[in-house]
Amino acid sequence: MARQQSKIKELVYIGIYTAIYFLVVCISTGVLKLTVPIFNSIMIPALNALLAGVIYLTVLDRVPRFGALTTIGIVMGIFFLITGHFPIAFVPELIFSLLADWLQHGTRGGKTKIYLSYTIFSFGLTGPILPLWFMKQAYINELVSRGKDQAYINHVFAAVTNVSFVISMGSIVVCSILGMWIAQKIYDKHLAGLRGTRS
Amino acid sequence: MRFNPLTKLVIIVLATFVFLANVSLMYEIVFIVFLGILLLINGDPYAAMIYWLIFSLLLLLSVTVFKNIHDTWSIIGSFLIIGGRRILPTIMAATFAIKHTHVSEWMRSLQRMHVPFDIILPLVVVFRFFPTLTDNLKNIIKALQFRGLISSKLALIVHPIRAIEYVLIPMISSADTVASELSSVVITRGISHQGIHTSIFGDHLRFIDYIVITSSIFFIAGRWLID
Repeated sequence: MARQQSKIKELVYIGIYTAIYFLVVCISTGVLKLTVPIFNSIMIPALNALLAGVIYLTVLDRVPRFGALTTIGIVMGIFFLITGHFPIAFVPELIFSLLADWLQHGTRGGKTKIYLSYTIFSFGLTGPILPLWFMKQAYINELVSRGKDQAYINHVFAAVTNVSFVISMGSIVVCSILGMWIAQKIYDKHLAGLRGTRS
Repeated sequence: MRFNPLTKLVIIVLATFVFLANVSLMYEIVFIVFLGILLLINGDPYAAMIYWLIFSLLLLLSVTVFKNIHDTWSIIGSFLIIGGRRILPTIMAATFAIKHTHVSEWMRSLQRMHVPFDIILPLVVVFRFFPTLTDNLKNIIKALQFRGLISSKLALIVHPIRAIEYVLIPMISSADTVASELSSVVITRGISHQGIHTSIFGDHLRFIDYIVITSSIFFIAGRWLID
């Protein structure tokens, strides 16, 4: 019974931290919508990675077992699915959270491991970007149906897509590392004393 | 009229399918009308009207203002309009799914679909806890303003790092209390019971559900037969 209770408490913790994480996602989406007028969704994962590091550290401290990060990923995926805005976001969320979980709990390593697993975990949020790619397909179809030349279409998209892809992916890596560094400072200042030690 | 959560899930999958597949304009219009009718039956006539209005506006803009695509601005503008038209069905499906379905109904359906308990419980906590969390956020911002730590909400956006410290740390700290409360709730309400659950919500599909699911199949088949 006691074991079941502690398991339930862990699951409740995961739910609560997922909710807080989701709130951070909402806030970073909102901030970007206010500040960057167009194509703001390619920056959502990066900004979120910058802000959400503290939650990641708390999860690792509270539920230090394999499965916690994966569950967060799946729950986020289902939440995305039901709220419908990013229907295919489920796939990257599942893959990257599983990978981060395995890296964090399945391998040995020191402090750099946290940076790496957090970076991978942050890539799970690339789901909101995927619709842009499909929108591009729809756009190309529309152009073709209007009789535009294929070479012209390629010319329009070549520069835009490659540059934005590199910016988006690069910013996730940079912001994850920076975000984790800041998060550790804040964590040590406020939460480490309350929680005991973090591995 | 109430729909079964399973039907709502089918509609979300269908909307995702339409989003991913290349469909013609005629198909798009029929699909938007179909989703609007579902919203009407579900009891959200205003939502249906607004979505229809948005769709007509986007359609009108793409055939008038952005008829000729030549310079950078018209490329960006027309891309946003065509993309927006493309993503509208999934947003409509989401509105259809969320409105008028209780969390317990979703839980019941997910249990029937044999989703593991380890996933259902956190999901229910997220649904249950998220409104509380947004309330907490408002209260924390009020308290920060009251103590003169920030002048307005804008200050949090200007200093995002400070915002993490001021907003997230109180939330994470209060999560401890909330976790013990919710764990007790989970145990007293019997959610943690491992056996078969009963529910006050009937989970059988009704006539209307069968109609919607059948028409969804027709929509998927129609993609290849008509387009």
